Amino acid sequence: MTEPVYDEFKYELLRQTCTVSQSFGLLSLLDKLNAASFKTTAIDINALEEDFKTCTWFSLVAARLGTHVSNISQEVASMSEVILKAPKITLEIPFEPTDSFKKNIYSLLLANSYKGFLLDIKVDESVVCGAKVFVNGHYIDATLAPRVRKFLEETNALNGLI
Amino acid sequence: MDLILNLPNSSSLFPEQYFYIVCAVVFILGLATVLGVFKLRQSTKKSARSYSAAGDASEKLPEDIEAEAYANAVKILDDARVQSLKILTSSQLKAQKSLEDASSISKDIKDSLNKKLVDIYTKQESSLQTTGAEMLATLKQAVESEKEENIKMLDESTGEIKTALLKEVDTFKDSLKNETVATQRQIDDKLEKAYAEVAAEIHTYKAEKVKLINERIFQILSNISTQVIGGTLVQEDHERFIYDTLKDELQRAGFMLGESGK
Repeated sequence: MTEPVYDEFKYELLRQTCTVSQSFGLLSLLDKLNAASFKTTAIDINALEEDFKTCTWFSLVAARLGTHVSNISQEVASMSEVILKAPKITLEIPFEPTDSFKKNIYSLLLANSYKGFLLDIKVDESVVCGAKVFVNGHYIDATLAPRVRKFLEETNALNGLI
Repeated sequence: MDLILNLPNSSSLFPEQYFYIVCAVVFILGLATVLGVFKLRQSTKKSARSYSAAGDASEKLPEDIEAEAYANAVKILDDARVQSLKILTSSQLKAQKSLEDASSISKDIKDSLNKKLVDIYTKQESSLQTTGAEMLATLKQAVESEKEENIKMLDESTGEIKTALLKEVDTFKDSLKNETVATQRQIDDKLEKAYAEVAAEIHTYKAEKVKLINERIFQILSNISTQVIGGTLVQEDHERFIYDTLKDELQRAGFMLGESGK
């Protein structure tokens, strides 16, 4: 169904979107574009830009639609499908992350041979320190606990204390 | 033992019989000698008395007469001794001959006896064989009979023994079961008591240790966090910590994140 060129666009769209929460804005834009495609009046892209100009993916989506003006409805549907069906990597952390942190984590996961996914970041203060990562049913413990355990084993720090 | 005197030419003389004969002959000769001496002395006295009555009618003195008589007596005695020695020698020769005859006779008798003994032995053997076979048959029959009787008795006894044994076994089993149950109960009680004591000790020990840990945990964690993280944790550092930790974990595990993006 999808040609290699579209695959590259899909991966880039997901990379720009980065997280599930940010994908909500893209889906909203795609809903508006879909609704507008049924109207006889022209789509006011400047008005849309005002609403989504802070989103990193906006210029990418606008460029793609600009080159496929004759088939906007199909493009919108395809992009919606990409976003909705994208695999999720869940990240549980005890604080609200910054955008740079999200991009760094995304880049780190990309560097480990994974692409075409969205980060699903959940704030959980019980994690205390570090992060819990769930990928395709696998669990990666990136919290402080294993490091503390390793430290205790290596330094025998509790010897004589307990 | 009867004293039987047989003649020397008898074929059934034995050495002791020769001895008695010799003794008798010597006795008779001695008696005859004594009687001769006694008679000679009487005649000598009578002669002396006649000589004295006649008064010097004779020139011989009484002492000479006595010496002469004594010499005669000695001569008679010597003759008697010679005769007795002759008789004794003859008797010895005859005795020797008789002994030889007796030896030859005893050989024949021995052969005869041997033959008779062989006959008797053969007859006895035959008789013993017959008797032995009969006894064996009788014994065998008796053994068979006894055996059958014993088997019969054993068969009859087996049921009773079996019943008795089963009863004993049941009794023993019940007893063992009761004892086992009682012992098991005692062991269970002891174990339960010991377990309760150990559990109480562990609970006490655990409470003490938890209290100790609670007292020290915050200090320990503070120290450890400082050493592991390297200082007070602000968000930027926390994000760096997560990034580094996740990077280490991905590299350590060689984690493949999935196939959907490949």
